[in-house]
Amino acid sequence: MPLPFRLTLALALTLTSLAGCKLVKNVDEAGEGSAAGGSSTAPANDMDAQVAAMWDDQVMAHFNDAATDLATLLPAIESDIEAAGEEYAYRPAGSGGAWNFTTQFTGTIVAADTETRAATADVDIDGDGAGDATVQLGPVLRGTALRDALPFIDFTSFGDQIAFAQLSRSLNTRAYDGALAPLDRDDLEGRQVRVTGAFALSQAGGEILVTPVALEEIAP
Amino acid sequence: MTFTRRVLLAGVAAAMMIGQPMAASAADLIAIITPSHDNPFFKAEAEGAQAKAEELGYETLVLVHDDDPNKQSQLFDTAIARGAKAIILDNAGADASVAPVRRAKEAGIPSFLIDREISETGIAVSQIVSNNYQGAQLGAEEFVSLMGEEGQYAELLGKESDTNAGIRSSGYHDVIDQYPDLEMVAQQSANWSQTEAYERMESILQANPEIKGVISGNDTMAMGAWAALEAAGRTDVIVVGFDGSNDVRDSIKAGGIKATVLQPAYRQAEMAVEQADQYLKTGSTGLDEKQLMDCILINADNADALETFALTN
Repeated sequence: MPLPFRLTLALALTLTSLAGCKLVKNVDEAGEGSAAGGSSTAPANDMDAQVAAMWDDQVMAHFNDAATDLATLLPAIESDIEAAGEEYAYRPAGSGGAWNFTTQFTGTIVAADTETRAATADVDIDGDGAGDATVQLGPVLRGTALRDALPFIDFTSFGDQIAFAQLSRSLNTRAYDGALAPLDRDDLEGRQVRVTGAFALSQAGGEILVTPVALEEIAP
Repeated sequence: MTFTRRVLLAGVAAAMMIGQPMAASAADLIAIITPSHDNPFFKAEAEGAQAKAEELGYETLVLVHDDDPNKQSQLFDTAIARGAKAIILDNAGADASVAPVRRAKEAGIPSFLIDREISETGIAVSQIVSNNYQGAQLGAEEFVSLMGEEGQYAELLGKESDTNAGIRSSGYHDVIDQYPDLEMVAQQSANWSQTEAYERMESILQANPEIKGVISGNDTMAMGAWAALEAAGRTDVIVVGFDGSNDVRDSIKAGGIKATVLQPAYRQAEMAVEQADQYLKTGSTGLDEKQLMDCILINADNADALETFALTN
């Protein structure tokens, strides 16, 4: 699964820096090989098309497979985020950065901030009336948790940071269009939702800011 | 042609030798090449790399290329001639740096890049890249929030030839342009320079007295802009920078500039040396070549913990 995806994406984007591809390295070692083109940046609409192509079979498939119930994650993170990360999350190589958890949960919206374009709703999953996770509603979605939670994506296969960032933007846009745009934003408080998404966390106690790939309202 | 071939053959021989794991001895030399230390960011990089290298028992050769690709190329020749075992590099241009890094590789000397990437993979052993795009998004999110999602603003761009100038600007706009009530009334390059930023800010203020915020591609330009705003009695204007310098930290603590974004320069340089050491001892770093390091938002909440491009807990 990982390799074909990586190759398809890299080829489709004409980004020639194929990670771990021995061919490139051999050409370089031979001397004057102009193997990698490098700084080419794919137009955003190409990236949108790539994301559309991989959304169901790879992105949603991964979330449906890997998402852990938030009620399991929260105490695990509280007791040892490194152990919880190893077991439930993904952290891209080298960065020393955040763990990216995939999660799902059902809960009640106890507060919502829809005054901002980066709208959010606090969701209570254990019935104590306090929000356990802050769910992003958009249209502006912050962060790169969706991209960084996908273990089959890696930065080395991308020409540069901008292309890599475009992938994140396209994933977030696809998530907004599919999961969040249809949501009725009036009187959110008290409504019950089922959410699947990702959040990035580097230390216990930080805000659980979930970017949803799916959000559905359920009848109370 | 003959010359090229001879160099290539020498490179092959050296590459075969370096392929063998070897132990570092006290005499082993690591070359550390960065832009000018006039910018404290690059000074922190060089110091971080040097301290870690000496801690691990290496001698160091610290050089500056002043963002001049020709000078960088000469410094690579110097490092090769001096028999450096590894090169730590913050490079002078994504395209222009490919040739010297390749030349070092062919001479059997592995390069470990920090801060900025080059436009090819497979010739440096590591590229530990500051995620400038992610950092710019963080800075922009804070800026948007401080602006109340509306109003006129100006952007100060870095030096056009520097990849990071474009990456940061793209990251800023990736966020800001999603807010239709934020209006960019001026976008000018001040070439990373404090004095140029001062002058640009003066003229931008004259032309746009309604301006409410300034987002700057680095901290030195943010300092220049802030000085001009202070001089004009416009300390109400929101300024956000990028780099996490001590100067901007102090301004944030004094209620001046509102925020910046830290690139963990010191730690990044240490990591590059650790990876070089690992590679020299075992023939592999065990890590991907390209490693993206996240940046951290600095504002009044955590400015106290910032010192020389590192955040203490």
